[in-house]
Amino acid sequence: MKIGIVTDSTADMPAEFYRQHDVRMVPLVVRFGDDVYKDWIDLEPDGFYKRMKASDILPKTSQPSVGDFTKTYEELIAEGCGQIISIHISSKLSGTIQSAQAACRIIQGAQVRLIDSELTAVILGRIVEELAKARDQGVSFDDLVHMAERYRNSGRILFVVDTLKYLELGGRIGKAQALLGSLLSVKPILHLERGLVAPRAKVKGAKRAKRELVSLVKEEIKARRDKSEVKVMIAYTDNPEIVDELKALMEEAAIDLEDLRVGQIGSVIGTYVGPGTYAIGLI
Amino acid sequence: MKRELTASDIKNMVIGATDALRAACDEINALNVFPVPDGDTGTNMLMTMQSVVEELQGGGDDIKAYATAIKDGSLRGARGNSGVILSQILRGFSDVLLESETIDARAVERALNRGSRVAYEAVMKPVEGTMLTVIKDMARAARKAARKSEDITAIMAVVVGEGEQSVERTPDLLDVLKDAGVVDAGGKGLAVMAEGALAALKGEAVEAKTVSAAGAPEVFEDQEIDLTYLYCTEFLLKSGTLDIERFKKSIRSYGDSMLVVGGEGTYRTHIHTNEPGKVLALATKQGELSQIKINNMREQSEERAAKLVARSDARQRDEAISGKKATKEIAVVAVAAGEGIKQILRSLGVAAIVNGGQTMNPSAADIAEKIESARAGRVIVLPNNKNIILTAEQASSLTKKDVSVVPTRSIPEAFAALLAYDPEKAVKENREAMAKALKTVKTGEITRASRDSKARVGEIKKGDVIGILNHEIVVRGKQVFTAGEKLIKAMLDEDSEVLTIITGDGLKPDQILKFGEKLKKDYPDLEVDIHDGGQPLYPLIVGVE
Repeated sequence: MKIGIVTDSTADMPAEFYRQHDVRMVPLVVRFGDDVYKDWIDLEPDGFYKRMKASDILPKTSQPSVGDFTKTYEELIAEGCGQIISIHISSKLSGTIQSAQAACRIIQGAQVRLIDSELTAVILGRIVEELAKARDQGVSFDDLVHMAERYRNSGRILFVVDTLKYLELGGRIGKAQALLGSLLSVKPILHLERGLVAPRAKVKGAKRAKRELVSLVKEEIKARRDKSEVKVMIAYTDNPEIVDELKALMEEAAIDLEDLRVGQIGSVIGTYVGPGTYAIGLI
Repeated sequence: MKRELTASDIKNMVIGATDALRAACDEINALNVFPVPDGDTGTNMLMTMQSVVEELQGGGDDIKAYATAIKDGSLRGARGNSGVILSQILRGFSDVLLESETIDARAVERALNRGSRVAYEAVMKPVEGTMLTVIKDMARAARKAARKSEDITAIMAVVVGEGEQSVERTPDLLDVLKDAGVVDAGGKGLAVMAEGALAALKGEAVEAKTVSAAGAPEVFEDQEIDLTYLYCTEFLLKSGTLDIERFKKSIRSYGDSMLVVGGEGTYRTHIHTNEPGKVLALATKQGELSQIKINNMREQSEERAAKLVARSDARQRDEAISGKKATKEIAVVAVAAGEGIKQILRSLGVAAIVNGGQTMNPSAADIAEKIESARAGRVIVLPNNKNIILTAEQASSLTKKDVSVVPTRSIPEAFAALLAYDPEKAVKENREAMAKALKTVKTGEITRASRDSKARVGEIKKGDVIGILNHEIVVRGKQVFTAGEKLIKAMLDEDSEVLTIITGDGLKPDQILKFGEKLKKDYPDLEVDIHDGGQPLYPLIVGVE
């Protein structure tokens, strides 16, 4: 019996990724006024950030509809999938999983396991990649589910935003709310904790922020029992030059970059973090 | 032959010591090697003693009551390093008074030696050539003299003589004194106090040996010790045109224990009077008042005791209501001057702010009060001035809360420490993270020399703009912003990334703007942040990270 894997566009992977790994992606929607775009499908990140910086109005996002999910699940069932893993952006950041839940109640003919990753962005994409590889190697459905849950628990994404205003205006600021009042111009280093944005550290100065981010990543790796299994990824928004800088800093910190992946933060997540953001994730 | 000290003797000696300190205050302040307008030793010791005198007049009438008053008054009123060390000397001294049946020559000698020992133990790294040496020498002389005589007056005379000689020797023990050509200010304060105490014991009036910068010397009459004057009235007077002698004369007739200290347009006034209204009316004619405090001294001591009981009751109530919540949380208390700085500190999570005042000189009790007011059982204190670190540690002994002092010496250090502060983490982790963070910033300050002085950059005249880095004068000039540029240049190195400038009271916005623009042009790779701190006396405070 085939096992289907479904995720959403916030996994921040380009189209070939899904083709290559035989994974289905359900897109969220980004709206600039009256213009509507499917995340990663109609609008790629570079175009999005250009538009965002040039526009007076802030973009808005919407979760996929129930119909988007039922269509995807039914297509997989038609292809012979009797079991489906559907892993998505944190339920605290988006209503995507609710749409998926409703779809699950409608469709028949397959066992669907919904997983709230409590994460998002490239790290979600990386988890999906590992799941797909394992599935292709014949790992059982139950073991795949356990694997997904383990990655959910161990996955971390730490990021630096240029300004907190996008998180605030978008209503996703979570516990980082506490940083808002600071009258000092501080660069906050944030992370996702139990599905919510939370502050991790505060530093002054852009250079320091990068160093501190890498230092925190190193701390995360140190805390792992199996350090050799750790997989790291870098994500950028409209600042590709940051990738080499972060790579250099991580090499200095003796972080193993053998399995490094580099990705871009898409328009949905980009709406909430804003241009200038960069992140390092690990599972 | 004076074989025994009575309660009355002790009270007179304390007042005599305080009066002598008052008369010599300016002279002692002038001995401070560093010409900055905060941490004046004479003023600190005097204000510490002032608290003792107030405490004495508020309580009972026997030796035990006086000894307790001396101990508590000095611990609470201690200001600045010299005030704190003095309060430790007095603590040891009073403990012996409390332990002894009669205060005979041996008890006096023991009291001095205990005071010396307690003071040394209180300081982490005792330095010879400071007031510690002087009290040690005086105590030793007392021990020798007490072996040969039972006459307290004679022993005190020996102590006074040794005190003067010990003070004269301090430049030989401490290079910085020798280079500046002065004796140690704190030591001189102790010697002066001993002299005043002896004079009071003998029933003599204190001779004012000093010629203060303001003009004629003070003459103090022996005071009758009772509550003739009920209201302890204190305020800061801001006046550009004050004729200090005339002002003193105008209010003197309204009471006693009068004290007017300060300069450069700001004067701290203190008087015990039955007509506080009249005194304030006269003062408001001279300028603007602030930090006005009027206390009924008879009620004060009763109130204090009642307050402590009420506070602990309230805390117990709070704890009962919110379970363990009140005692588990942490709060940060910081010392600061300047409205802008206070706002920034609050925005960084500081729960309560101790007003540093004009000269960053809060007493241990001032700090303890804010610690108590913070709604948490564990408090981290940021002194933000090297002169307040000891005072903050003393404050922790005045409260039952768990207090940790993170030794910040400046506002930029406070900012760095607060960025590392995480109220969700444990106190120990915070303390370590904050102590580590404050080391990442260099602080420089621009101020005006409060007196003439010598520095490596040249002769400093009173009023010169000076730039201070690592407790050294590295820049001298006539203009705040040009001196600021020089100071910044001296502070920057190739690793510097962020320049934080906190502007003080009285700078013009367009000048600040121009200054900022020039800095951004001169240092395009540097992140330049300018904040309006509003602090007095230091037009520019600079942090480099």
